[in-house]
Amino acid sequence: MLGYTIRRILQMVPVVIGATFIIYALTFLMPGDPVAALTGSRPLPESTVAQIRLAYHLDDPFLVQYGNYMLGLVQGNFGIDFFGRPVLGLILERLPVTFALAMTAWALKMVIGLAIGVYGGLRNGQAGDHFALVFTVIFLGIPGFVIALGAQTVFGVQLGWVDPAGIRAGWPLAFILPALVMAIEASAGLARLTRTSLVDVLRAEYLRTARAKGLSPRRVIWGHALRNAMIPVVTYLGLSLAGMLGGAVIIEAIFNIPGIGGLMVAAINNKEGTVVVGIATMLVLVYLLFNLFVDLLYGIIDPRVRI
Amino acid sequence: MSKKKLIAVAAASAAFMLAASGCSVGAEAGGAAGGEKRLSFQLAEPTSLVPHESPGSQVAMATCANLMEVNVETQELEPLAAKSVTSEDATTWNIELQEGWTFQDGSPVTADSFAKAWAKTATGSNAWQGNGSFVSFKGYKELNPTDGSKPTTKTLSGVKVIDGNNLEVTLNAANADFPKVLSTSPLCPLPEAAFSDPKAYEENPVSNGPYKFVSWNHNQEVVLEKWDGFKGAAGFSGGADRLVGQIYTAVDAAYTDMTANNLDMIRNVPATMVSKAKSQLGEESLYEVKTGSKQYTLQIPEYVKGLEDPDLRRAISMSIDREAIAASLLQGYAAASDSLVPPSLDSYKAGSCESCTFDAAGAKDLLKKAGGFDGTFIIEHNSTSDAQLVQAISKQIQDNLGIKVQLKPMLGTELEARRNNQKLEGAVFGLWGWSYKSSDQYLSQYETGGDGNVTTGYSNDGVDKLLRAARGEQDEAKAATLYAQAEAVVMKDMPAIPLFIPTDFGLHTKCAVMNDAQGDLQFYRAGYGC
Repeated sequence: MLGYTIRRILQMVPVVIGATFIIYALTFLMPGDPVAALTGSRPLPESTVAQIRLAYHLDDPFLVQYGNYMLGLVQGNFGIDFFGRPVLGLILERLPVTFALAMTAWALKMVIGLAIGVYGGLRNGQAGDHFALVFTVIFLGIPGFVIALGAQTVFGVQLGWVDPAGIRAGWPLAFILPALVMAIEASAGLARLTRTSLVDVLRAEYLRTARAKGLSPRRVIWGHALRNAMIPVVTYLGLSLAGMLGGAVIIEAIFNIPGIGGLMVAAINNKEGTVVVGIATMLVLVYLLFNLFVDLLYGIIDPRVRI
Repeated sequence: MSKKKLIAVAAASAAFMLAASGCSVGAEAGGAAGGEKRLSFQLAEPTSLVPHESPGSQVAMATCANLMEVNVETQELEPLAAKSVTSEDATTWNIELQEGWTFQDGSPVTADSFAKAWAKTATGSNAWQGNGSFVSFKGYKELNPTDGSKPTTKTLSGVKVIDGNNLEVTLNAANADFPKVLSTSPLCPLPEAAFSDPKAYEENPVSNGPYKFVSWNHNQEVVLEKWDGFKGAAGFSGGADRLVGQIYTAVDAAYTDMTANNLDMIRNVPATMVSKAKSQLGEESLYEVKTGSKQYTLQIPEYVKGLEDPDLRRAISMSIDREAIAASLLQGYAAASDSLVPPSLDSYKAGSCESCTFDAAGAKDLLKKAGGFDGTFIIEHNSTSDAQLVQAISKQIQDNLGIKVQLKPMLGTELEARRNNQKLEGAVFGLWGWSYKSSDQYLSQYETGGDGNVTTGYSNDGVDKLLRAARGEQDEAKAATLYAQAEAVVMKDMPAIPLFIPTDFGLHTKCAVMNDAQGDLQFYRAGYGC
């Protein structure tokens, strides 16, 4: 187990290097001039532009720039943005906010998705199952931002239960509505996966055996069916948490949540390579760690793949 | 008002434009709690609170008192931190400071506070954004070697400290607008604390203006408080005791927060939001900026082949029905432009652009006279902010003139780069505004090496001479005549097609009485109306 974990962590090194390289190259290749983005239509004086280009090594060839960046990175230095602010500081300012939002949304999604999925799976083909199906179709069909804007108007503006924008109210009050919107949207997929997985397992031969052995229906479902049905669900849940960390851009914009997504979009628009790669590196690391965590969790659920 | 206004582009995703259903808004305004006069305003996360580093910042404007500023009560440029600003020849300027003024930390405001701040900003290696404001100062070149070497001096040779209260500034060339330059953010003074511990100062700035900095909760809010030591007149300050800049990433979120009574003021309201606000928040929530300071144009670079003929440019201009687009797409929140400067400037002459009147038949005749046009007329533009407007214009040109028009939408960064590096392949659609109210701010675009000249690369000795003469003229009426003459000469070659003068709007609650200073809507100038 320990050896496996260490091997997996070592495997991350080339993945991180490869990912940062690709992202750095993409940012580099993107059209536009980062210095031009600083002031809009009024160009900065030539001398200032020259000084900025010099200070940020913008005239160096790509590989030298990337080398400089990686050299700093291994020393824990994420570099600075074009306003002289350290990138690590920018990320750390926003990461807790995104984390709070993603975790809240993820927890809500788990509760909603699993409840509907298990309910539908157990009542396969009955009215309850159809109801669950309709629910998921509706929420898969409506674009997320429509739900978000609707919820914002109703609960934030008209009823005034929560602030429609910003995080002044702190956790949990400021995060409930956006997290719920994200959760509802994402729970549809989870519910369907859980339901299908459960229906499959319920038809499996080993369950017939369990029932034939005379086990109580309760034990059959909780001890055998659900446990086996959960294997694909856990993979999905683990990876979706990582996805939620990076994929809340629209929700963040609508609810004015100062998270990592907004920072990323702004940095891409301004062609701020150091910020883009900094965030991407962080997200890649988070994704890899969750991936590892999920793989280790398999062993606990499913003894067949235990190492 | 005359502080550096950057034409930042508000990118608003169409997705967020989805109108929320009409709802009633209670009469009680955002932040009036416990009798305190509190107003909140929309803000983007500041890159810096120091005026010299982030000249467009509303926080910087509220905290700094410049030597000269526009008094919102008179709408005139008046001395504020200065007692007088005078010059015989418009090249050497004598500045006398008000006596006994201090910074908010109690340290005195002296001639040194200005001279040292200016020298630091003018030093290129500091990469402060206000740097460009000092190009016209004597000694700027020495602080900004273009070959990447270190400057050999640390001061601006054109700035002389006579004594504690007197400064003498020498410019490279005469500029009667210098008092207006003095009203821009990069010309703010800095206290000793800014030099002894710059890092600490960044997070806790101290200045000499009507409001003092209280706190900055990153990505959430910046809080300012009225400073009782401010000695300027009421027209230089505002009515609120506490100003809270609430940080938003998109104007749509700010708008929603306003409908929920959580925000008092928004500026640079997009045209689409104006109509929505009218029906949702009521007519009285809109503040129409009194002075039009911006202009949309279609600029034609001189280096682009095939577009050199002025008759061709005039034909294109005549084929655009500005009135129709202003009334329909822009919903009446813009006026057709018929000059290279906005009508609010003294040098403006109505109809100085004769071919700005829509005449489809005349345009076709003129095109024939120019020998036709069988190429493709390319228009480059910003894809996020201007797409619809440019599409409407291109359709008019295509339909009325019968020439092929191709649009090149791109991100702001790319467009700026192409503009600044003279890599444009056709005309470019853009918005221009002034940093202070002067015809020079518009016409310098057509002066060799002038501010914004890089876009067209237009160069004409006659125009250069007239503009230099106009800048040296301290008599405003005479200067206006010279500027008008320069404009008339430029217009003959038509390096830019005037299009629209947009109407600027602010949104406010009942408590916030918005005010603009010569076209610049500044939050801290708002009165308190509750």
